[in-house]
Amino acid sequence: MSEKTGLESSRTAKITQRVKRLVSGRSFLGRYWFVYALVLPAVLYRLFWTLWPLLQTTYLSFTDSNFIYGTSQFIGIQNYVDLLSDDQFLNSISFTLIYSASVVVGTLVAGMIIALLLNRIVVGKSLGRTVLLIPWVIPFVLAGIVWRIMGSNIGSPINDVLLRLGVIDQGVAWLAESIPAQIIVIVASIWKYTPFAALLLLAGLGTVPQELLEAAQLDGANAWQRFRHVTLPLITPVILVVLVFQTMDALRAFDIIYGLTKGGPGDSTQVLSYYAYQSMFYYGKSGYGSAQAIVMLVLTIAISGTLAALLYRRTSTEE
Amino acid sequence: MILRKTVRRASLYLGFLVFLLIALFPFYWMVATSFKSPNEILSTPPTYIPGDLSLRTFSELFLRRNFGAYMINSIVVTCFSTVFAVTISAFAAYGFARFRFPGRGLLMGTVVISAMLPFITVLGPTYLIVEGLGLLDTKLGLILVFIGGGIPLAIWFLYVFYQTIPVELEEAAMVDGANRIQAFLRVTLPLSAPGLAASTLLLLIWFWNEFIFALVLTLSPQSKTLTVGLTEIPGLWDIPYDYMSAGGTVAALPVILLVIFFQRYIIKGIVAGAVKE
Repeated sequence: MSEKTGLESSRTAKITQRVKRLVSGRSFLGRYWFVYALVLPAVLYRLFWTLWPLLQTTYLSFTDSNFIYGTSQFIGIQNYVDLLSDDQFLNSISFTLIYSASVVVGTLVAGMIIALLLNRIVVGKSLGRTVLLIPWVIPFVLAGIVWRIMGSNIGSPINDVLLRLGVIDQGVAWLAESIPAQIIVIVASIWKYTPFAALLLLAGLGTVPQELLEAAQLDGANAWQRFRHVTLPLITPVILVVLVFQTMDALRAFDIIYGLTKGGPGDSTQVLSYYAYQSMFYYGKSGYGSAQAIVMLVLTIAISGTLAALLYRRTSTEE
Repeated sequence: MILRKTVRRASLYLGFLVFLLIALFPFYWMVATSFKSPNEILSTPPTYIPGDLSLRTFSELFLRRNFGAYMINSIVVTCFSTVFAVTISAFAAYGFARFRFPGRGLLMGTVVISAMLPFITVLGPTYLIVEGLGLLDTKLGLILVFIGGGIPLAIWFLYVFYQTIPVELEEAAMVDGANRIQAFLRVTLPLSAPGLAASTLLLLIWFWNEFIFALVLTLSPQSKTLTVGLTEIPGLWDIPYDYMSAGGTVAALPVILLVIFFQRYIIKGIVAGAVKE
């Protein structure tokens, strides 16, 4: 009912507007030049550095363009066909997926634990927030270097702690073997990403009404039940935002891997953006690298789009 | 009952300590390593408090490894990019927040979606454009690219922020005889100072930390930034952990100071920018 009148009134408003415009006799440009002058410089500047390069990358992906030789010839979908039989490419896709899934799940879990912890404590809350911001604020490439120093072959504090705890009985060469290198890349990324998730989740927890939790407690709900049935549903929207952001970020990870392993040892920690970068700027094969970039774009849209859609449906049915 | 409560509280703070340790230790380890002698770095078990506090690595970096130049480049590029990106975005965000006009949704949507584009899809042609402009290996080239990179974030933050400022204030000013531009400059702009400050801080941090475009677009100490210089310390065969640590400390210090001084603005910015959607 109210919706209908709303529609009607907006329609009347539109008509009045149109009549006013006719009466005042001002042209389109006369009416809007001011706002376009405000908006367009930034928007067009942005498009110049994104839309235009994106179109160019798409075109390059159908050529054998080479940054070193400066050649470029149209070769249709040959690059994409080649990618299908390129082991290095297929490996980098599979590691990108494993990496992203582990990092996103790890970040959400760690972020949630830290948010709950900081939400509960009284003393040190502000200290906790400042400390969170330190891994958040340092450059991603530096986070990679920090963990490279942590995982040095000799004198690694990780090994020292694990040895003392009895988890391992001899030092691990973290950056010289495939599996340890993959583990340290994932751990370093979780360390770097968690603060962002924790800060958002902490803000989300702040919006959960205290009365609801107290009421649940009076009804005899234990801590886990209160979390599961009161807190969790209320902060689901925040969790979803974190999930989508983190997924997009993890899929395009580059800096941290460059700082930590440069894709090695071998190709064991090579992610898609690293391989594409290498193809373009190390081997000069800009056509081939562009094809990889386009595959990555499609993959990113597919994954984060599906996530966003699924989650959007879930939140709207739960409400 | 009281015992249980005490145990619970103790375990809570124990958890808090573990969190502090994990969050801070890697960074602490780097700072500690930057002071150690080459011999101490290789000692097993490692020493957790550096036995010597020499600054030799820092002076070596600045005197022989171009870190002075990298630092100046980082400062110049970061400051110029931030000023221009915030200014141009402030106008656009104001337009989006205050006016209804044809194409508003489309333009705003394009800007926001463009922020989600994986950088690798624009990296190659960006290089070609900068090369075409003759700006490879210049700070100006980097600044031009960075401004484009910062626009969506700045527009979004300021857009969210302008919406919290009541239009009525501007209208009141206009009733009192101010024109649109005066109303914006005298009323809205001063009120949006906290929003401008938050987006300025976030962009300063972002540009300071930027790596991939700087890596591709710079070639020599005349334009290389700290993040790029940092990755060039380890050689092919020798991995000087002490220099890497010192370089990392130098690169991290400015942004960590920002965080310590402006914690509240920054957290507000992070949260507002993400959750508003």
